[in-house]
Amino acid sequence: MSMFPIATYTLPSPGPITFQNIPDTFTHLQLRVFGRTTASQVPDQVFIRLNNDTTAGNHNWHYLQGDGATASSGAGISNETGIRCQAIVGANASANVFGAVIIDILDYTNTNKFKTVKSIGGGDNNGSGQMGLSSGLYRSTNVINRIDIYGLFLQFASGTRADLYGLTTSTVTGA
Amino acid sequence: MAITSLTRNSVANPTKYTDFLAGNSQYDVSSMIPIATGNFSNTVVYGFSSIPNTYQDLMLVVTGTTNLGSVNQIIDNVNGGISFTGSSTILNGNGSTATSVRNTSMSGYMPLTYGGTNQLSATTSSLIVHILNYANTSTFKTVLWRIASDANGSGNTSLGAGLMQTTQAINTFNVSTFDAGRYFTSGTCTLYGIKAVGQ
Repeated sequence: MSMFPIATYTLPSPGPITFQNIPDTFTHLQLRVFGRTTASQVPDQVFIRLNNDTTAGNHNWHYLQGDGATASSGAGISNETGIRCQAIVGANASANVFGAVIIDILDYTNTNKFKTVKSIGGGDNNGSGQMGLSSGLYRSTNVINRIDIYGLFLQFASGTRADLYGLTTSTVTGA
Repeated sequence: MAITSLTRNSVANPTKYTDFLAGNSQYDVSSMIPIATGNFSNTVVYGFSSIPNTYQDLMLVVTGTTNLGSVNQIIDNVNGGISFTGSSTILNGNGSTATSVRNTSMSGYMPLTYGGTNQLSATTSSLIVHILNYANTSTFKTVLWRIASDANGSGNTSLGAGLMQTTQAINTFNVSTFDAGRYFTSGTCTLYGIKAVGQ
């Protein structure tokens, strides 16, 4: 399996991040987010929405997380429009502290199945912070060609970076 | 001598070239590049130096065993031993209980494990560590890792997020055992560089 960079984007000002016109020539996608949000708290959450699909209930997810004191688990509600992909830090984290999330979207071009998403992520603020792992399901057989990335409470801060990679399973470069 | 024509037979991968002419982008260079690999035995530390700053992230993959069933690991000797504050938040499962713990304000090292929570066992364990934005001189270094250690009736699986409060680009680091009398009996480690677009 080989991994190839598709696109990278660093926010010049607060906002969400969008990757569109994603080529359908790979087998899996991996998204790496390094950043923080503008929410006035330490942990915030990274969400993704696939294909700009706002149909209620098309995005499902579960998580297992820890905050340094308690391990907890939860799930999305029935009308979600995005997949929770784990913790990042917010504006109340110390300066120069960023969280990170690694998201895998498996078999994203397969039109015979719904799409599986798995992620790990977190942020440590030397005495606060949160981390965990999530699994998600996008209930559509459509090829994924767009990913919108956003924070649960507010926007990503400037300097937040996202990198999109394509993974192949062929020994030939490209898919 | 200038190239005056390019025929299908002169291209090493004619299928890829034909696909390119059809308007499809081609990707030549994998973004996961092995930087260094090695085996270790009967040691309290293994490490990497002269890490180039030309990647976006680092990924370390390790499999190994330890001499005892409770070995703590840390990342230390960063850039030859600079002063920094390390901390970590850990989520751990031991087959019956899920717990979360925290290490704070560690001087000069970042703990990958915590006390008796997610230490390595004496059977083969695996460790995958991601150091994101390791060469960025404007941010502290965020680390994500997973440890898996099952011994058919005992063991741990854990996930961690850590912080190394230094804005230096990382060019050297070690993974070390923390407690006296504990060491790695054998193992293999590989450090990868993850490139971003344009690198």
